[in-house]
Amino acid sequence: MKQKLLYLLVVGASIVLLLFVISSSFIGYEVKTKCVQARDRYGGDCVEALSRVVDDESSSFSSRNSAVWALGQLGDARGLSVLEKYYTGNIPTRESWNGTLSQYELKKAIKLVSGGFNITAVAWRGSPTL
Amino acid sequence: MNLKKYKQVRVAVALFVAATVSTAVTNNNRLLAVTGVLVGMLFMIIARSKTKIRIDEREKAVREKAAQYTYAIFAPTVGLASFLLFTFGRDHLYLVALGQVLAYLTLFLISLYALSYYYFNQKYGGRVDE
Amino acid sequence: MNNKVRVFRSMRGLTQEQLAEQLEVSRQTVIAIESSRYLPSLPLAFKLAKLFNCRIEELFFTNGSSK
Repeated sequence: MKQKLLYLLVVGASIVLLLFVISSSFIGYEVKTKCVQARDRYGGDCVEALSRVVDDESSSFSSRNSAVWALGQLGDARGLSVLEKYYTGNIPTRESWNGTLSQYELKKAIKLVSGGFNITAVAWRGSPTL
Repeated sequence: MNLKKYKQVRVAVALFVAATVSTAVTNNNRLLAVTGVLVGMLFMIIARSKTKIRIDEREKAVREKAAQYTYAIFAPTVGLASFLLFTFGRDHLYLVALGQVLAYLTLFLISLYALSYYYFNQKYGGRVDE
Repeated sequence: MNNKVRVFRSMRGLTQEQLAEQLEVSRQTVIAIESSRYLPSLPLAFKLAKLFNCRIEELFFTNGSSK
């Protein structure tokens, strides 16, 4: 009985791990897509291009917020300056993804870029596309 | 209810659910689709409970062989597919992402098989120290 | 491996369905055993022998040792 439970536990853990890595792969795919779009427009490497998207006030808030998120996922310290430039420290209760640059996203991104641990990045970082 | 009648009922329910879901999709009615599926499932549960289906040793042996062959075909196919996607889909992000997911799926399948083999080997007396 | 399950079954006037019921297996299993396409497990083989009131060796035999 004990062995059966242990077997089921390990199988359950494997399934959770599989779902986790698949979700992480999906996050990586999203980051890479944003990266490619930004590089197509602004050139340079991923971090530089995404930083320019965030800085480009003529771009939609939705694109800029996505770029903020992607910079956070990349975790490269070079993105810190542009993130801090727009972060006021004042996070409203409600934020519109399309209406404003999300302070909450900026806060999360700054945390990740400043050395925060990103568990999902293990599955996709290090790709040549980035 | 005998097995023959149960199989007829199963086909009828499948046709009913298919008709309901296709009507729902045509009319963009999600509630109808969900209701159709749930009703179909409920009907099958009732039909199954009324049917005497015998799963004897031969049936078990057939299922074991079928599962064995399914694994033997599926795992290498998915593994090969992921390798091909990585190799030939490098210029397309979504193909690389799909290759990644399939690669993790293959690893999961192999791990699951190894775990299951170990467990059943232990269960059926295949201990190393005996 | 061959068997005389069909012979013993006929001797007792049983249909495949009836035999399957008594053995608690499906009719397909009885058919598969009789046509030597499926080898029953030991418990099932013993059950058959007990049902036909004979020894297992009288029911099942290898190709070179038919009785």
